Amino acid sequence: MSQVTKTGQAGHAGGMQSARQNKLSNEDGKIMIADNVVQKVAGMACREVAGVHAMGNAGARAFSAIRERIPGSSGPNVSQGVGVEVGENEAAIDLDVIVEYGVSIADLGRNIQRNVKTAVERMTGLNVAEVNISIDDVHLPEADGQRQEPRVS
Amino acid sequence: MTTIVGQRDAVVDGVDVDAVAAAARACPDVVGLTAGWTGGRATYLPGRRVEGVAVDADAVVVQVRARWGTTAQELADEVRAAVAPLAAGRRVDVVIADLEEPPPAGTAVRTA
Repeated sequence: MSQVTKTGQAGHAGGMQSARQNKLSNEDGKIMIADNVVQKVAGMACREVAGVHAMGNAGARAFSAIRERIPGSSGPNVSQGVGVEVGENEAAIDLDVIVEYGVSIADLGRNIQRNVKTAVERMTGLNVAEVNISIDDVHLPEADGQRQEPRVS
Repeated sequence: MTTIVGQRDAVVDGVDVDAVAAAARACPDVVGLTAGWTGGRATYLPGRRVEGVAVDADAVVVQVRARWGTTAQELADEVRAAVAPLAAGRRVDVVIADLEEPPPAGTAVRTA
């Protein structure tokens, strides 16, 4: 009986491990995925969700606003506001998000987590262990039109 | 990236949000779905949002604008019956977030 349990456990554990590793490592070799790959996939998946206005903390956004005005620079940086830790078959993702005014942040956050997790798992084959979101700011609807004309002189 | 956008993306934890919204809208005492207030419940999908439907861990929340003259119990029963088969075993919470404008005095009810 104990033997059965033992082999059962061993088989289970081995099965779990090989099933997990199957996607990215097999007897032919390993597939390594760089951090910035996961960053870009996660960044795109987060930005496309309705209610997300922009990503990145204040410093990064100020810097990229300048950078985007330099002729010849490549548009917005997709991985801005995305931090990742990538292991052999798992990834953890941290997102800095600016939301539109009027969204339900709890609902939006949960939907971002879902979309990012699905996109990263589908495209890279990594298991996403966690998606942490920090809401850095709220974008107000009238903020865009008044940016060029400050209220104080 | 837009290639990912499709029918599949409306499925949140096994619940097809678009189907839930359509089923709720089809109820005779429901005028429409609404997030209700600023920051009200909604599902945020790539490129669009479905207002008035949210999938929680243990419940599907449906926020409706009720037709004038119905009772809360009738409305809730209708919406529950329509949405329950799509809720993947979850409870169905019905929130009456708004009410249709009453018809002007003197006209027959339910002309809409």
